[in-house]
Amino acid sequence: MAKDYVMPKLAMAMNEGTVAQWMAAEGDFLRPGDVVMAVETEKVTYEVEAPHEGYLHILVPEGETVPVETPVGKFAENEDELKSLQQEVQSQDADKPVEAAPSAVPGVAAPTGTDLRTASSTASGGRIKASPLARKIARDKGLDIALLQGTGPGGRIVKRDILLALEQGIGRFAAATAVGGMREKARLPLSGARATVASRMMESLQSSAQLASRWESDITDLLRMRTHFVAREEQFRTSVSMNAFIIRAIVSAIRQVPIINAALQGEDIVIYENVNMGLAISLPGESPWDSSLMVPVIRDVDSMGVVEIDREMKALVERARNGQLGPDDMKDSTITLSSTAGLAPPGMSTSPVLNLPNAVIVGPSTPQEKPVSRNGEIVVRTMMPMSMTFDHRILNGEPAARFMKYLHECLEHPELMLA
Amino acid sequence: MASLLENNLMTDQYDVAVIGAGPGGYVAGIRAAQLGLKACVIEKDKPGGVCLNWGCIPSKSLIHQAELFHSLREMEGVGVTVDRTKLNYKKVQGKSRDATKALSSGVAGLLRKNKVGLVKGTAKIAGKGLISLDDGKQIKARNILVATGSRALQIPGFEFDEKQVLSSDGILAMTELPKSLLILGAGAIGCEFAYVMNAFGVEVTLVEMAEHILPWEDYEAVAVLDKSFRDVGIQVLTGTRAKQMQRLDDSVQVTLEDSSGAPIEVTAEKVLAVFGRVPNTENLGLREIGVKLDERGYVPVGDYCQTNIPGIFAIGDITPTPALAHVASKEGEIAIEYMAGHTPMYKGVEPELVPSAIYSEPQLAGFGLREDQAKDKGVKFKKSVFPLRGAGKSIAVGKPEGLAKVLTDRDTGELLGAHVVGHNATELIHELLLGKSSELLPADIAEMIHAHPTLSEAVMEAMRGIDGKPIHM
Ligand SMILES: Cc1cc2nc3c(=O)[nH]c(=O)nc-3n(C[C@H](O)[C@H](O)[C@H](O)COP(=O)(O)OP(=O)(O)OC[C@H]3O[C@@H](n4cnc5c(N)ncnc54)[C@H](O)[C@@H]3O)c2cc1C
Repeated sequence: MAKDYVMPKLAMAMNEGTVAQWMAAEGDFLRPGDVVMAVETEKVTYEVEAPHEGYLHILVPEGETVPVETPVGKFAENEDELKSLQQEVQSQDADKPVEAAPSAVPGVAAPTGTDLRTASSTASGGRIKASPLARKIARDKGLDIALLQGTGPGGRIVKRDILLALEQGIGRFAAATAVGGMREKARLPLSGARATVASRMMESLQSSAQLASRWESDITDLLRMRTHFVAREEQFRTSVSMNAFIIRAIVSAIRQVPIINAALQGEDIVIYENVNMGLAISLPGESPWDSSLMVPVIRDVDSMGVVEIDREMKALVERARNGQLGPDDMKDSTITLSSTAGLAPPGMSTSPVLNLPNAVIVGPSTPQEKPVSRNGEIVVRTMMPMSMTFDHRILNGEPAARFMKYLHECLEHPELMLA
Repeated sequence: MASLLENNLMTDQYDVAVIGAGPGGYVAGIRAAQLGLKACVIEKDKPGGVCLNWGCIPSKSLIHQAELFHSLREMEGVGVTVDRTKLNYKKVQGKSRDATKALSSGVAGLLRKNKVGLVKGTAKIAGKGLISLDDGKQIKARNILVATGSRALQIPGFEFDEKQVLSSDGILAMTELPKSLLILGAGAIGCEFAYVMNAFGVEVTLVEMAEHILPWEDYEAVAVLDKSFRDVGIQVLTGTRAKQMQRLDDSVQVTLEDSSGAPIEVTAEKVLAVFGRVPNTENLGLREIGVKLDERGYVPVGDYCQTNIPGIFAIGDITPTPALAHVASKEGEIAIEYMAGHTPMYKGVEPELVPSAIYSEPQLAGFGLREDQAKDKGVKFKKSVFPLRGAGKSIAVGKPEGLAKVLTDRDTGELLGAHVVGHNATELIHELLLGKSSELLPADIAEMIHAHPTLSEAVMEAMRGIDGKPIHM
């Protein structure tokens, strides 16, 4: 009796494989250990050896992808059996159109009753949680579900995840190769919001004269002052955040050094009267691997107290999260705040890339408690890493340093913000 | 400052205040408490809303008793004779009220157990986060969830007097059977009462303007119910509209008009007018604080049942989603989970995942695409219909009429819609709905072993019919 030769399951997460190449020819006599075919999975190409002895009869042509455990060939015991196998195929071919008709996707086995059963048993053996429908669509569309994140109950991959992945081009079968030693996890198209950020960052770094400086400010007193505001959360209808105080301090420092709040327009340096604060916000990305970046603007922060700044800022963040920002929300910034406080490790300082055409971007980061010397004594204070990048085409080191110093003083002695 | 202080003393402060204790509101209240929110539910009447007091529950009690009464005929077949003339309908109705009382106090108990405040009174939104009650008391809440439900739609010329011309409330309160009843409107409520009244021996005429009864259900399934109704003696007039009505001393005369424009005169002791429902969105202060209503008075909602005004949510019969108790409850859960800072699995009720259910005998239940819709939209689908009589159980219990019908996507196998009519259809539908919501393929259900003999075997066989052949056909 001829034995079925099936697509082997070569890895835990393997649900299907492509017959990349038949290494033995139709009718060849093979012994265990002889190489039969090359199987391509999404990750690796394997050379597979014959499990039994016999004459090879090929069922699935090269390039075709089938679920694991699907017969791809047969091993005949003798030449007579081989002949009758070969004839069987011809007679089967005669009624093939009827069966093949439902398959809309070339290269995928027609979804006959048998194929469906094979597929669903494979599915329950795999470790990836996905609904049967999601698996079916993914298989038909040539999508690797191992690369997707599920949003169904318990993280199950469901139809909407597949449709989203198809739309975004995530999880397409990457050309599998073991040669380079690198295995692709995902391909993210450089399009949409991601492409915008990429080109703006490049443009910023290539077309301006950026210079970054860093320092540390003692925010112990500011933190203490903030507790009075937090305690009045009900009254202010917001729990005023550190960012609001930092923005207020920046405004105070701009009053001292107006050229900070400026932009280069053609041949002119334009210094602005009002302060429109761009706020760099990180949002979930279009795929599970990246994040997206937006810089909406709080207008006229120079006319606001910390409470109002905080409320405006939170409303803006909320709208950004809900995807409700319009083009007008991103316009007209005169300076930008890019805080990594809470995100970055304590003490780390950044050198943010300028948000053109702004002359300055300020980048506070995660504070930490440190021993410092005060009046000759070592005391523990909360120190916040600060940084600022400025465009040397617009301002020189002297005004930049003066701004940083006053900003530093406002953070250390918050009463100066009253000035 | 002083006024702020006074306010604090005079009012209760909640994370969420729910207006209306129907299946939308009370479920929301309990869910809120489960998620650690301080919640109250304000109700002007009895807890449980229309569903529990004047809808789902009392009607199902009547249907159950009608079934029992009807099945006495079967007993006669084995020699048991019961004097059916002794039927006391007042007691039948009384039992339905007992059921509502028990469940209504059960709801109150659940709210108490979960520490959800049940506030008695008529509520009105007085401002953002502020509700005033008819007794002058005020309630402050970060979020307000409006779940005030709906009432019977009254059409000029057919005003309810609840004696001769009844709304669904009126017929549920009725304690004596009329000799004859004319039902205007063959939606779920009309069909259920047609069944009940016919079973108790009332002469029933059922009138529907659309081409068939239950116009939004799958026609092939409805046809089974339609035939059954006619077989038991209900006069079914479809494609027929009510033109005018005249109240006589002890009867009502209604002029109908069939699709050809020909008048039909029908006289009946009582008329049940079930044309539809209207949302209770007046006198709630909604418009005053800027909540948008559509031209029919419904509150359109966005994701997580939010209205256009932040902090105000709307669920249940006052929104344009299907007016069903289970929709109201699910919307309540979604809104509350969102308020509590969770991300609910769904942003709202997905229409194709909502089961509809009609509890007459035979029952009818369905969800998703109907065949006529699939054709209109040009969807490429496969269809399989399995007659209930092919499942041995239906013959054994003497309920052979009915069918299970499934529609799937021709290419992906996705379950697009399912329609079951027959004994216990409202229970049978859930296996199919689970299949849809969990994205199972026909083979998953077709290959699953179903106990024999059950009516569920019909569901399995219908699924087999999609990609292969049912065994018992
Ligand atoms: C005869 C009949 C049979 C039905 N059968 C079924 C069925 O079998 N299955 C099904 O799913 N659905 C059925 N329905 C529909 C179901 O009853 C409704 O969909 C459901 O009750 C809607 O729930 P809800 O919470 O939105 O509102 P409701 O149940 O209408 O509750 C609203 C509540 O709000 C209260 N309220 C209103 N205004 C105020 C105010 N200003 N202040 C305080 N309280 C207020 C009301 O008193 C009421 O208790 C039936 C309906 C009827 C009429």
